[in-house]
Amino acid sequence: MLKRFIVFLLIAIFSIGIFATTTINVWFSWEGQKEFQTLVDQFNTSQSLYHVNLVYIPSMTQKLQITLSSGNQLPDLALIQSGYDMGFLVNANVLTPVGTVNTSKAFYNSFLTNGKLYAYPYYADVQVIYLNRKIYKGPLPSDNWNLSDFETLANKIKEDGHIGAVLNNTSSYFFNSFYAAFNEGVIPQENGIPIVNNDGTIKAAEFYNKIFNVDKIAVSFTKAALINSFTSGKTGMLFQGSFLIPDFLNLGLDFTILPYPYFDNGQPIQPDFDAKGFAIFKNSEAVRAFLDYITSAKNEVYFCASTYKLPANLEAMHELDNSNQFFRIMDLSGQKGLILPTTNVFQTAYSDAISTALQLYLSGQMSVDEALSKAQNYIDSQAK
Amino acid sequence: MTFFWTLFFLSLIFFLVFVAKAKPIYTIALAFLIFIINFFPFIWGSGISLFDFFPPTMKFVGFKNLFEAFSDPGLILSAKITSIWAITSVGIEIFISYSLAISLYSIKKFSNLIYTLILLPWAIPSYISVISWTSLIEGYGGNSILSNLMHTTFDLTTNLPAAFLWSAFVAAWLGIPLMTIVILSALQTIPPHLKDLARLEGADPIERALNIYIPHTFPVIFPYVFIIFLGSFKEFSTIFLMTAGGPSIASGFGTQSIVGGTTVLGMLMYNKFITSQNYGVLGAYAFVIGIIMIILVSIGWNYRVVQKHRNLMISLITSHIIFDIWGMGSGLFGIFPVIFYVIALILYLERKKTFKRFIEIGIIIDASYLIFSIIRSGLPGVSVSSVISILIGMTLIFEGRIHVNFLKIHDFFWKVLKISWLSLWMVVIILPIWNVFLMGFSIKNIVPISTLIPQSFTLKNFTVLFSNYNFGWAVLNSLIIGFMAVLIAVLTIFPATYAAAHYKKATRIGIILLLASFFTGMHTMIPLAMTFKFLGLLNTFLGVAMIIALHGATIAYFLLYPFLSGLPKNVDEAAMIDGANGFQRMVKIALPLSLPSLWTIIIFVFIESWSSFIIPLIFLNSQNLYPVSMILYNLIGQYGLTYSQWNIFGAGAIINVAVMVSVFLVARRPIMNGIISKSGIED
Repeated sequence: MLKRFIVFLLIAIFSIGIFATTTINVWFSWEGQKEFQTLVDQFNTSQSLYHVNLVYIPSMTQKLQITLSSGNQLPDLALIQSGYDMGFLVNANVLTPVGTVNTSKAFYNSFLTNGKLYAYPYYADVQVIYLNRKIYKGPLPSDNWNLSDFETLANKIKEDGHIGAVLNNTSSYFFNSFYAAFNEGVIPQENGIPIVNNDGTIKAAEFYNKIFNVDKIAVSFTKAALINSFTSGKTGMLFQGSFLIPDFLNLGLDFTILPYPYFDNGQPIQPDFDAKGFAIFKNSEAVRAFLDYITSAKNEVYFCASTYKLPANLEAMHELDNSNQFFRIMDLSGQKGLILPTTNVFQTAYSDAISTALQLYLSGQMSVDEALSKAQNYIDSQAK
Repeated sequence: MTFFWTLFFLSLIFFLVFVAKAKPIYTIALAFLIFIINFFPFIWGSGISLFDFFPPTMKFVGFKNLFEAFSDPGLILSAKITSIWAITSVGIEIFISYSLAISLYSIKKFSNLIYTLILLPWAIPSYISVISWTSLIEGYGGNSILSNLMHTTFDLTTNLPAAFLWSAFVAAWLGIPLMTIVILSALQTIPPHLKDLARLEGADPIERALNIYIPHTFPVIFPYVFIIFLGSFKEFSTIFLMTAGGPSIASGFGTQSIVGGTTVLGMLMYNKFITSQNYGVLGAYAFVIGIIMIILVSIGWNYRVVQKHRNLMISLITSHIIFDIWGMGSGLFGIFPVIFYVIALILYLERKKTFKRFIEIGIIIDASYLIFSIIRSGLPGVSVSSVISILIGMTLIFEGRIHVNFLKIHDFFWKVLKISWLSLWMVVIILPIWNVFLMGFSIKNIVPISTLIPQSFTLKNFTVLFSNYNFGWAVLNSLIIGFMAVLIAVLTIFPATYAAAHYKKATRIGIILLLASFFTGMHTMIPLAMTFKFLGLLNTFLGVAMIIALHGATIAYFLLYPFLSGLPKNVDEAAMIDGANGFQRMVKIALPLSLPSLWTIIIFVFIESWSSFIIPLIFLNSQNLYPVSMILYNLIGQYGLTYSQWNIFGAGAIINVAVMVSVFLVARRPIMNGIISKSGIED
C-alpha cells in the first residue's frame, strides 16, 4: 500500500513538473497598455503551458536604471527604447542577444550593438509635426516641403496671434534630428564617442537660437506643457512623436500631421526613429513562444492599428502603410528615420551634456562655442 | 562576496561590543538595526571606494575614486548650493513659524481648530503636497494658478531664482507645523507675570515679541534650528519632485559632474547612482558626503549643553578651517574671520564677556564676504564656512536687548494684522489640498491653471484608480509595511529606552541613535541598497519596514526616554523587592504605564511609513509590492518629462489625504501633548 502510494506520489510530482505552467514576467511601458493586455490575455487563454504576468511600468528607463544600480531582480522581458535604454543595459551585460529577426533595416539597426541584435523589435514611433487645422486652414505643404516653407508657415501662424511651433529646445529627443541634419545626415562620432563641438553642431544650435530667440517663431515647453499648448489652441505646430495621434483623435481635435521638412538643398532633416523592442533578460522557451505570438503579423496589425505605431513585422507594415493619411506620413517619415547610436556614452553622457549646453546657450549664459566645448569635455571624460 | 561578509562581521562585532555592551539583552535588537541601516552602509561604501566595482568584478584601485570624489568641483559646488539652500529654507521656516506661534499664543477661540490646521501639512505625505505645489507653481511651462495670481511666470525648469526660492519655500512649508509647535511649547515656559507686566507698561505686540518672546525662547529653540539645518542639508525628495536639481548653471557644467542650480548633495548622489555603474565611485561619493555630514553633526553635537560655549567655538573654528582648505569655504580670506573667532575663544576661556564682540566682528566679516562673493560670482561664491559660522555665531552672541517701537499703532490694527496673517496661512495650508481635490474630481486630465473653482465633476477617476492601477493592493501593501514598521520600532525601541532610562551606561545607544539619524541621507541609501542586496532584503517588505522603523526610532526614543526616566522609582523598587527581575519589571510595570506614549510612537511611525516615498522607490522593485506612494508617484513621474495622469493622481491623493487626516485627528492630541507638555507620572 505504501509502495503504491509512493509511486502514485512520484507520478503526480512528475506530471506536475511536466504540465506545470511556466510563468514569465513582462514589463511593458509607453502607450497601448490596454491593447497589449488584450494580447497577453489571449496568449494566456490560448494555451496552458505558459503564463505571462504583465506589469505596466510608467517610466521604463528610470525603472531599469534603479533596478540595475540597486541590484534588484530584472524581469524575463522588458519593452525598451532603442535610443535611450540599450547603452547601459548592454554595458551591464544583462541582455541576451536575439539572433536573426525578419524585420526592416531600420528596426534591425536600432537594436544592433557590436554586431549583435539585443532586443526583439516590436514597433516604432516616429517624429512628425502636428498641424492644428483650426488655427491654420490654408493649403497643406507638400511632403517635400523645406525649412524655408516651415519658417514661412510658422511666421504666418505667429502673425495671426498664435505660437508658430513648439518643442522642447533643451531635449536631445528633438535636437538629434538637427544635430544629424547639420552634420550631413549622420551623427558625428570618433571611436564611438559623439562629437558635439564641430561646425555642424554649432550650426544646429544656432538654428535653434534663430527660431527661438531671434525670429521667435518657436517656443520651448516641457512635454506636458507642449501638449497642453497644442490642445488648448494656442499653438499652430507641435513637434512630437506619432504616439499622440490616438489621444488627439479621442479629443476630437482638428489636426493633421506633416513629415519633417528638408533643407533647402534637398537634404532631409531626419526624424528620430524611436524603436521599441523586447529586451530578453532570461531566455526560455516561454519567452520565445510569447515573442513569436505578439510579433505575428495579425497581432502586430491589431496593436499598431489602434495605437498608431509602425509595426516591426514586415507583413503588418505592408498592410498598414497606406491605410490612412496618418500611416502614410508615418511610413514616409520612418523610411528616412534617424537611427540613434546605441552606445552608453551617447545615451547618457551625450544626452545630459547636450541638454545642459543648449539650456546654457539659449538662455544667454554661455556662447555656443563654450557651451559645446564643455559638453564635449564632459562626454570625453564619461567615455573613459 | 567574501570581502562583503568579512567586512560585515568584523564591523558588526566591533559595533555591538561598543554600543550594546551595557544591558545587551535590551539593546542588542536596536543596536543591530542601527548597524544594518546606518553604520554598515557607510563602512561598506568606504570600503568599496577603494575598488572599481562592476559586480561581480572588483579591481583594487586604491584612493583613485576617493580622490576623484574629493576633488570633484561639482561636489564642492553642490555643497555650496546645499548650504545656501538649507539656510534659506530654515530662515523661511523660522520666520513663518515664529510669527504663527506668537499669533497663536494668545488665541483662545477656535484654538483647537487652528492648531489642527497648522499641523495638517505634517500629516499630508510629501509626495502629494510637493507635487501639488509644483503644479500650482509651474502649471504648464510656468503658466499656473499662482503665476496668474501674481502676474508673472514661474518656469522652474529655466528660472533659477524661482526654482531655488520656491523649492526652499515648499521644504519650509513641510517643516513649519512641527517648528510652530516647538516654539509654542517654548513660549509656554515664559513666566505669566512678565507678559502681564509688559501689557501694563503698554508694550505693543512688536515690543512684546522682540523684548520677551524671542529673547526668552531663542536660546532654547536654537539647537532645534540647527537640527532643522542638518535635515535641510540632507534634503532630497522636495528637490527631486520639484526641480530634479535644475535649472542648468554655467558654473555647474563640469567634466565629472553636471550640477544645476538646485542640485543639493542628495540629488548629486542620486544622479551618480543613476548614471554610474561603478559601485566604487558611488561608494567614494557616499564616503565624501558622509564626511561633510560628520563635520556638521559634530558641530550640532555641541548644542547638547548650550551654556558651554567652548566646544561650540572650537567646532566653529575647526569647521571653518576644514571647509576653507577643502575649497568649499572662503579660501585664504577665511583667515580673517578665524583670527577673530580664535581671539574670542581665548577671551571666553579667560571668562571675559568681551568675547561676544569678537564673534560679532567675525560674523560681520563672514557675512560681508558671503554677500560680496555671491554678488560677484553667483552660486560658486557661496562659502559653506561662512554660512555655518553665521549660524553658530548667532547662537553665541544672541542676547535680549531692549527694543522700543516708536511707531505707536492702535491695538485694533494689530488684531486685524494677526487675523489676516493667520487667515492667509490657513489659505496657504489648504491650497495644495484643494488643488488635488480639483484634479481628483475633474473629468479632464489637466492641471488647474486659471481657476480654483471646479469646472467638472466625476467619480470615475476613483474607479479607474482601483481597476487599472491596483490601488486596493497598494493600500494593503502600505498597511502591511506600516504594521511591520510599527512592530519593529516598538520591539527594538522600548527595551533599549527602558535600559537607557534605568542604567546609565546603556544611554550610549541613545547617543548613537541620535548621531546616526543626523548622519543618514541619500549618501547612505545607495550603499544600503548594495548591502540589502547581499543580505537578501532588497524588494522585501521587511527591508523597507526596517528602514522606516529606524527613521521613526529617534523621535520615539526622545519621546519615551523622559517618560520612562520619570517613572516613580518606588514602584520599581517595590517590584524588585517582590522578586521581579528586570525583564518582568519592564513588561509588567513600565510597559502598561507607557501605553499612552507608545500610542503616540505607533501613530508617528505609521504616518512616517505611509508617507515614505524614496525608500520604496529604491528598495522595492515588484509592482505587486508597491505601496500607495509609488502608485501615486508613477502617475506623475518626473515633472515635465512624462505624460502625467493628474486626475487619477488627484483621486489617489484624496483617498490618501483622507486616511492620513483621519489618523492624524485621532493622534493629534497625544502628539501635541507629547511635544508640548512635560512628561512623567505624578508619584
